[in-house]
Amino acid sequence: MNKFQTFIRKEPARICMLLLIIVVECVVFSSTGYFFTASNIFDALRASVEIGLAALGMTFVIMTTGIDLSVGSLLALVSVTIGFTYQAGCPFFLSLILGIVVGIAGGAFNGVLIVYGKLHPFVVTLGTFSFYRGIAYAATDAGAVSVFPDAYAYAGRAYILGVVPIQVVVFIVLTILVWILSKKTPFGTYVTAMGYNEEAAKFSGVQVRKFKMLVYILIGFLVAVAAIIYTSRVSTARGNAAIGMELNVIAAVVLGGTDIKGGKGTIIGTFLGVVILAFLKNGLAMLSIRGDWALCVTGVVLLLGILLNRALEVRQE
Amino acid sequence: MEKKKSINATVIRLLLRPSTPSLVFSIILLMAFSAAASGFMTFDNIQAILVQTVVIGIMAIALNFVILLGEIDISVGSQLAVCAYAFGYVVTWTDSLLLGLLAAMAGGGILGLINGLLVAKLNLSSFIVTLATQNVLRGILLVYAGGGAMNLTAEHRALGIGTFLGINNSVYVFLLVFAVCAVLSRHTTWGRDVYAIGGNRGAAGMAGLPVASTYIRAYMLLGICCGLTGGIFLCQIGQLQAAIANGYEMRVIAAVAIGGTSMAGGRGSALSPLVGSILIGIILNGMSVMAVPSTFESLVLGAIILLAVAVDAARHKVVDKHYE
Repeated sequence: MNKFQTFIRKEPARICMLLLIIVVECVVFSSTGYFFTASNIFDALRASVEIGLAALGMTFVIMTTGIDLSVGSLLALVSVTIGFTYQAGCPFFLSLILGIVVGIAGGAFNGVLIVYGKLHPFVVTLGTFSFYRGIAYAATDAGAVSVFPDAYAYAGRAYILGVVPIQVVVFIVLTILVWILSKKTPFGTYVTAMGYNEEAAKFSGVQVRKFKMLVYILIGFLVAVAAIIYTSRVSTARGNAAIGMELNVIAAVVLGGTDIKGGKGTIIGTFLGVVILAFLKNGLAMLSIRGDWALCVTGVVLLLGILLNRALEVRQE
Repeated sequence: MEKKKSINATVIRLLLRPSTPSLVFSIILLMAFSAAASGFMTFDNIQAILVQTVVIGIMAIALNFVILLGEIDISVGSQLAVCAYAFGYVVTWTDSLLLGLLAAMAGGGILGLINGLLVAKLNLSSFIVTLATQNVLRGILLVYAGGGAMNLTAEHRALGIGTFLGINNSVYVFLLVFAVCAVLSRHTTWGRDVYAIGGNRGAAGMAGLPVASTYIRAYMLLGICCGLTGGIFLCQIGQLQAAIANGYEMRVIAAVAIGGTSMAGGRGSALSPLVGSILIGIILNGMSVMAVPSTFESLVLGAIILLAVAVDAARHKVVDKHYE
């Protein structure tokens, strides 16, 4: 059996996802007559890069049976950090660095409470979901910053070779890096092991606490990068950024085949999940369907996603 | 000497109950707010606190059972909104408060049944299922009811703004729901099963407990309570828009968590969500009386949740060390 056949046999969920994308694309194509152009496909991905980056980090979080509900709020916090420090006179480069520091700090704060405080991830990130958003609002007095250096616009709205949006390139590069992290480094192996059975991993010598902390720090870093891209894309830094992002991030991860009960999860799957959601959203917009339906559709797709995961899981056993 | 020792022990036991930290904190806050703002300790303001608490409290008391089972339901805000609309339509159409309530509660029950079936029968993660239903419901509501507002005439709003013996009607409903749920949790088989299944689902299943139907009943009860709350909410506010109660699930879950119910399931009492929701009501009201800008609301709520969870973990440590 060659490698391709092994791949198909091992991951039917991912194959279904791929097929789903193609079906979605075909539907949109047949109704609107245009989808399969390179620029269109890249544009569809553009708006979902932030979700995608957070989803990469969320994959590891969910793999360790945790959850992070604070991604949207942390993104907003990083965004206002960048905007308001710049407005206060900080050199822009320093503002970006501060943003990344805040992102890592936010992730680390979650991590400390969950790993060392041994508190339940759901409640901790529920608290930080409110708390980070609250800081973002309170520290900025619910204001907004819209003035940025011209070069910054480059990050969110420029195209390489005139066709590929720069943030899509960033997303793909980071996806590859995170994939390498998950497959070729001990980090990935340990995280998977911890997800399947944390006790066993601990007794096998895995430094569970250290790696769990790294997981939360990683998602904090990725959210910070997402915030940089987001702020450039919308040209504004304000406290109500990325409201509701959590749903899309978690949906992408679940669609990618990651098991919410922990252990099973792949970066490629998450990437596919992000792509599916991106195409769905774009497809709905192209069909001129009201934005409110997007909520409904995302919810339904999420349900179908877990049903599919469950069905395939049972079949594999 | 012996008697003194046992009184001390009783006091310590009381202090270590799950709802105690919140109760203590509530009292402290009451004193702090009444000292800081003159308009706080008035009958009208206390009434306002209770009225605001009712909406979160009824749902929290019902959600408590779901959390005791070790599951979650984050679609309560959307359920509330949908049922509030159902209530509004039926009441304006039939002029009957009772029919409206029945419609809202039946609607809520059906929504709860859907959640329950998906979680219990298909064995799916409750977080994902209710995340999905939360958004599906909200999406549908926004599409069909978005843009406009629904108003309820004053004569129909007795449940929300009418008073009996000087106290708002909805407060009585709240207490009634609490009483019913307290009885359900302590004096029915179902209530006992909830604790058992929440404590150890596998063992409970093997012992022959009806896991699936327990789950479904818990979700349906929650749905019915969301329906009831929807009716009360509309009566209190008098106007509905499709985006109302967006984010309420966070407050309701916070109320349960703050009250002392363990998120892992199996531990907690019916008193916990009551105390937790009153605490949140006091905080929200206190902040508005002290003219704290609403931008601080999320900050405070988040900090309270984190604090409450940390205190509860500390409490568990003490309890586990000395009493188990």
